[in-house]
Amino acid sequence: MSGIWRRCFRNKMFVFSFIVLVPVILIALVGPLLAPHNPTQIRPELALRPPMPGYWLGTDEFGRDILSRLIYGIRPSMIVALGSTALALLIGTAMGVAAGYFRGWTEQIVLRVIDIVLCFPPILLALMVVGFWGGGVRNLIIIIGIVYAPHFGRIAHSATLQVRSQEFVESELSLGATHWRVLTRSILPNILSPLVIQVSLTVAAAILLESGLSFLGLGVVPPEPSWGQMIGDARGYIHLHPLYVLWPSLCLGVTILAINLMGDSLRDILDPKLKGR
Amino acid sequence: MARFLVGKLLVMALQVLVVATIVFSLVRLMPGDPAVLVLGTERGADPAAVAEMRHKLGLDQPVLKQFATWIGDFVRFDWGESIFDGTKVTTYVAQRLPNTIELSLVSIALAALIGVPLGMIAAIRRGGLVDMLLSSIAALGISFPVYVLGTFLILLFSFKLGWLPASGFVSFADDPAKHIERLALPALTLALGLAASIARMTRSSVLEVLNREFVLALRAKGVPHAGILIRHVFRNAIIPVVTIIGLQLGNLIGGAVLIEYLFNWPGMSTLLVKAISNRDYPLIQGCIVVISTFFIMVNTLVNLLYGLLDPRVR
Amino acid sequence: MNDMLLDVRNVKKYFPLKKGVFSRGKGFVKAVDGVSFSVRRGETFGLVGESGCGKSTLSRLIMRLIDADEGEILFDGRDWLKQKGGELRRQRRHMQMVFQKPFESLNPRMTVGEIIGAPFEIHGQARGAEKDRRVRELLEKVGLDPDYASRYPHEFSGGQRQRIGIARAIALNPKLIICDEAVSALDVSVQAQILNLLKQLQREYQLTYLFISHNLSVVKHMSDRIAVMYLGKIVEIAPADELYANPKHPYTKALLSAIPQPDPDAKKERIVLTGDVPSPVNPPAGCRFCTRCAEAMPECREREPALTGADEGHAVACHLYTTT
Repeated sequence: MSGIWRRCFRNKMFVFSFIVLVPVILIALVGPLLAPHNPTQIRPELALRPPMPGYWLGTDEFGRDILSRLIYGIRPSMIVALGSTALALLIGTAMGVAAGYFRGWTEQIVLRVIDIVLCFPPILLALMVVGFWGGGVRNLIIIIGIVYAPHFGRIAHSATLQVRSQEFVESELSLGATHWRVLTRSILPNILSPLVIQVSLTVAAAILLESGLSFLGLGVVPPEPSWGQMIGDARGYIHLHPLYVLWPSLCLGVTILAINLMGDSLRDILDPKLKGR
Repeated sequence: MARFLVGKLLVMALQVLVVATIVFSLVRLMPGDPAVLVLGTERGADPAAVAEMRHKLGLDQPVLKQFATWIGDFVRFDWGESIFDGTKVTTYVAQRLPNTIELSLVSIALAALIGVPLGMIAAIRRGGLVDMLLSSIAALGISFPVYVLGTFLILLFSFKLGWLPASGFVSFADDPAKHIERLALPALTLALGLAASIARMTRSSVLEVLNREFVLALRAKGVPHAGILIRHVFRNAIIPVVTIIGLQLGNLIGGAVLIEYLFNWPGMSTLLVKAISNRDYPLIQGCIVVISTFFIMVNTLVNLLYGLLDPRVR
Repeated sequence: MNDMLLDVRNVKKYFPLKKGVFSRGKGFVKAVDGVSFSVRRGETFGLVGESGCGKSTLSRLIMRLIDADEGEILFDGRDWLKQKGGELRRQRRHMQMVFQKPFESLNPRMTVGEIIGAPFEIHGQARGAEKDRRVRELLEKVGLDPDYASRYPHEFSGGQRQRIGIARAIALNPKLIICDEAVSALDVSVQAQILNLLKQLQREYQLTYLFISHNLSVVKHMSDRIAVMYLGKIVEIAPADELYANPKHPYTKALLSAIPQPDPDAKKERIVLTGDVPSPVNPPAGCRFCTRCAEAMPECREREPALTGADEGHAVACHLYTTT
């Protein structure tokens, strides 16, 4: 296992994205302790000020400190992104592996369900559920998880089909192993690579979706800050305070870029190993 | 060929039906009594009003009958009225749908117009300036959300340069020039994102075709360079482009939702967002079904086009 | 104790041909079409035939990795095809297989120790230190350094991987081992080593082998008795020496004539088969070989010959010999 870590750190893209993401995660965890101000405290007299001492990035339309809001804003986005990705991974992998391993009716049903969910553009599905059930972190995790489960399902399904046809699976069965053992020791460990790559893609997509929903005012519930939401609020004040829209945009863009680069680098690291077999 | 066509159309109809069914079911699955939700908290406290609304919404009928009624209404384009102001849902849709379609189509066209030539240049002058710019910008492009790109474009073209207005809508009939002015930024924003993917796809498929033997054979025969490029390479390379458009469709519609909101473009998405804020369930239902149907139709069209261009798929 | 370890009776497996998801079958591929033979305890029974004759399907049928459509199999006196569920899994320890592809038959994510130790784990025969000890013992038995137990399959060569596969197969001292093209993917020099290992282990553990291969010389080297298979059917069964000295079926003769002889002076007529190979979907009504047989008679196209002569120790399915 340590061999993989070494290969990761030799890849420049991985290192770069790692350097960006670790601080982001750290700030998400301890940032609220470091933030200079209460992100929800309204001070109308300080509305829309440019950067100044104490308010290093300026203030928003309610006089709240932008920097503090940025720091607090990482958490909901991160929780939603990681939570929904984990949910999508679990549901999708379970469905895809079952479909690929047991074939027959299981496979047919799973594939049809996947097709149906994929009929909806992700944001539409999310909007529909938000429209009926409301937003908020918990609902977002569930709905975004469901939206991206099919992608894991498809990947798990085709990877399972490919692994299942190999002789070592036959040998496990011929030894008298139960299906459970075959699934956990022969199938799952050998389909990890494409799933890991998909995890990084999904985390990026989940952040984009959540920030998009928050931008529309339908995601994270105010006054809890989220970067997408801040951009949405800032749009009305572009002419008065252009920096207001700039900070969350930069943070969001750089973070997502780092996640995408990590995904690309993981693909480079993990794929050649697959081909080498 | 005909079988392929009919098959795809049947699948499409089935998908629309499934979508409609899901949307129908979701309303019934919501926590709380839909009648109370429709009436709102004040009027909803009055049992008589609730009973009347339940009857009006047909909630006192058995579920299957409700479904049958709903499907019947749906097919006849009777989608109910908006809770908010009583306007028929179909009226709203008729107003807004053309705008969304216009924005989507113009964006796709722009994206192709920008992306395909860029991709071809990048392939032909491999390693050149265009090629390198393309790969770096593309990486940035998919990381920044589309509304961020839109915001930057507004900052640039609206505030710094003052060339184009930041939002608003003027109908084409009233004033074509102003209409196009206001269409430009939103369409450009959507187009740029798609153009990057198209350009990359075009680049790799052109490169692949350029290397294929039959092109080398043609060049050996002495057919002029431009002639080869335009006829053979282009035709073979167009297929992946169509594929990419199909694949990116979900992103495009998602982007359209956000862009319409950002630029205040009166399309289906802004209608939907407003409906959600107002908890206007009939309107939400109608919008979702229409947008999904649009999505499914364009998907099917792309599949059909693909089948047309690549006989192997049939 | 019953002398017959494995008794295969009239086993059939047809694969339906399907076009698309919903259409009905347009015929069947008759991969195994009524195969019968028996394997005696302690012997090496060879099964030889070209690719596509159904020998792999047959091995999977015997191993119960796929299910037969018709027929019976008696294994060590039990009705093998009727076993199911937990009981089948428990019985599996008595019948093991050595697989063909060294680069596919070992789980890349498990160490060699885990792979060889799997049988012990699955059947609860040993755990922890005891398991490790037995794994090391097995590695030595197949000629590998016991310290290899902590390494991964990709660190080994093809021949070494086959040894690991063999170690896994003998772990629980099975009654029958099916070698399905066990050496076909190896270099010729390595093949000899593995074959010798198999013979040595047979002596030591009193194993019974069902040895399947398309390579005649290898099969002759290993087997006591040999069955020849063609298009899903057995066409001849005889002791190894007898088969080579006195082949009866025209197909067997053609196969034998194709073996390269080391002696350049040995005169030999190469029998070249003409005619098309019938598709296993629509085999001819009579003998399957009639389209390519130089000695075909009219009745060969009409009636299928039965396998006769088992009592005399040399069975053959050919009209040339059923005139009695």
